[in-house]
Amino acid sequence: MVMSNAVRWARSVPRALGATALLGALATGTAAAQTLSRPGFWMDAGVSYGRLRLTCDTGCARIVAVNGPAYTVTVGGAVSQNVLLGVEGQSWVNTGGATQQVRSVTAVVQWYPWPAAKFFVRGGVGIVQSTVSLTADTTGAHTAKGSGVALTVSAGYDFRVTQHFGVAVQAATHVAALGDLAVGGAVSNTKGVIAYVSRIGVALVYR
Amino acid sequence: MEHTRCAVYAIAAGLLIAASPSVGSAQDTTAAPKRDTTAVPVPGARDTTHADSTRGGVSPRKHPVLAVLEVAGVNIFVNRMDAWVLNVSDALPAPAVGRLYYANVTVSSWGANIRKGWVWDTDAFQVNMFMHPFQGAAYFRAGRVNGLNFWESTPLTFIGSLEWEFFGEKTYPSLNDLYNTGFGGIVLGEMTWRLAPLLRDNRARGMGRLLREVAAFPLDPTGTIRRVVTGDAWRSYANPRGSYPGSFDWEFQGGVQVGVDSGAARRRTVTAEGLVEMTYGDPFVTPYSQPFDVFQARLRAGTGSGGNVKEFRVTGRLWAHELTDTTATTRHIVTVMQKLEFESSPAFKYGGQSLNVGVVSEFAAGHGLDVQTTLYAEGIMLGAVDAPRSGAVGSDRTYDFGPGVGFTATAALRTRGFPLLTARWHGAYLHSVSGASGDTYTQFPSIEAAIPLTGSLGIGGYAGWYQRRSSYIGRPGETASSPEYRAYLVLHTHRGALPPGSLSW
Repeated sequence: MVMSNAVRWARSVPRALGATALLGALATGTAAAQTLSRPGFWMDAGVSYGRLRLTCDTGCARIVAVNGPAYTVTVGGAVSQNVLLGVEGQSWVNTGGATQQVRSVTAVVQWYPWPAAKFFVRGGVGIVQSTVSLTADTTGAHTAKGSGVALTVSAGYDFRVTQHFGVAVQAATHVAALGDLAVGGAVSNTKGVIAYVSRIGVALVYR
Repeated sequence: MEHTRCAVYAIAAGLLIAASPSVGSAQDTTAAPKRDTTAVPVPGARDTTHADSTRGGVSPRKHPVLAVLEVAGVNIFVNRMDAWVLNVSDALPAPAVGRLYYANVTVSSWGANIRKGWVWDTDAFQVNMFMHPFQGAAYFRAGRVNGLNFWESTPLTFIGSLEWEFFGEKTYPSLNDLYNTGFGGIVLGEMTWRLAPLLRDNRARGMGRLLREVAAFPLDPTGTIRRVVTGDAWRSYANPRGSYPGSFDWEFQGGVQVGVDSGAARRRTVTAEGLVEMTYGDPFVTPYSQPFDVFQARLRAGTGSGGNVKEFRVTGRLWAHELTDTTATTRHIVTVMQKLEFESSPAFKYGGQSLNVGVVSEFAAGHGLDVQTTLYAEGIMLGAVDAPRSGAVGSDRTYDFGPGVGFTATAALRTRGFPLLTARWHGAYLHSVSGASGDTYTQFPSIEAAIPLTGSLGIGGYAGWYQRRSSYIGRPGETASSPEYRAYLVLHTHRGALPPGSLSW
């Protein structure tokens, strides 16, 4: 039997997450007492697995939540030892049936409570573009597009591998306020849509 | 109006928490005589990182945990005041009947809020776009008084707003509140944090000292109560270093406005208007050292419909880099600004939180004349604009929310700091994500002219023209335009470098 792309991803992403987390855990054993230095430039690139859930004012009662992988890239600069500014690009996708995706670009602030901390919280706002499946839409169409404001909140923990490189474990929630979705240039019956992508994953970081 | 009360309570909560001597060690009160007897104001001084927090050159300890707890304390205090003391409620939106005692939160209401998630609320324009930032300012200052710098304090406005939205009210958490409280709180929090030390004078005595301390109270209630508790409010000691921005301008206007409202009849309205504009620092005098080392606040109030606050705009410099030599007669500075904007007139409503990137230029013309120009591209994180078919039916919402982009261009001809002629053009595009399904384009060119009668007093006039074009998916679009004119008396004061050894100005 030929596996679909979605199934391949569903199987491969958790493995990748596990392997990277293991790498991080091993690295922690050798550098547990150290924290990542935080030079001016920083970046991270991560993979995670997340769930899309839609809420709306009208027209989405039968829309079901779906899972899929997400990819993030963040670059920025440190303004102090415990505050990093950056821009985060995030793409979540589900290809089971009609392709659904949530892509966002957000300006983020990453805050370590104190300079030596490894725990951090990250928050940001930006813009989002999304394509989602409307299984209950009365127009009969299956997918609709929308764009709007994006909000991201996450918490994570840094594991240092070398002086500047490391691995971060991160749990995040993306809120995408899309408003009224459009199908083929017309407003659909699905109005006031807010999409949530909740995900957990790991990232390679340079700080 | 519950949010108005919230803002007042937030200030009061700060007072109570500040009464604890263990909370916070920053603010200018740390500049005790034994530590810094030689402290004098330095015009245009570059604050160090520590001075940023202390306003006194004394390295403080940072208390991030206390700051977070203080934010929670503000929320608990405000919520319990509403629930136990004032028993506040809102009328339920139609068709429901009755009142919602929104502050009577329970574990069940917390669970309902978490399960439901975010919504866009239906509060009035003034409540959402003007009042919420004041509550956010209390959260922000909780970080500043606990030794955190500007960037370290920014998450607190969002943490405080998240707490309040999910656990402080029975109403569902609203995204627009989070944006306006979070970003607006940063702007107002840092602004008031910087202004309070300028009002105080640690060397003054008697009634003058008392009046200064009282005047600083609304700006920095936490710091004021700490000064009272520690005795710094009446003790004579050196003023903190680095508080004065090197330049400080005030402008007051009072007069009448003639406008045309947005109704179909296009009625002409005549109202009395007053304006206060404050400019803290000067981009060409104050070298960039920290966020908000230069900012400008403009408040216009008047009679007539739509609330008394007609305009409130604060822009603060987040980062700057000079492209030219500081001694050149033509200078250009690349600048990133954060802006809070609120405009409400009978003709239109517009507000938003935005980041601006652009160039500030100065062209010296000799004989005390100069031209200052700005050109900014604007990223609007969340804006609000009134338009036909906007808002939510049967509620106070008569406007749409959405992100967007825009631009601002200004040019000002000045003589020795007195603005003779100022032209401004602001354009914005908003994509609605709550309200009508559509996009709105606005532009607002205006021009102000003043003739100085004495060194600081003059007469002036203003003409502005607001235009809006709304396009909707599957429906006809709509355009509207409204002019407005003002005539006024203007008083402009400019303060440059201070004489050494005194903050009394």
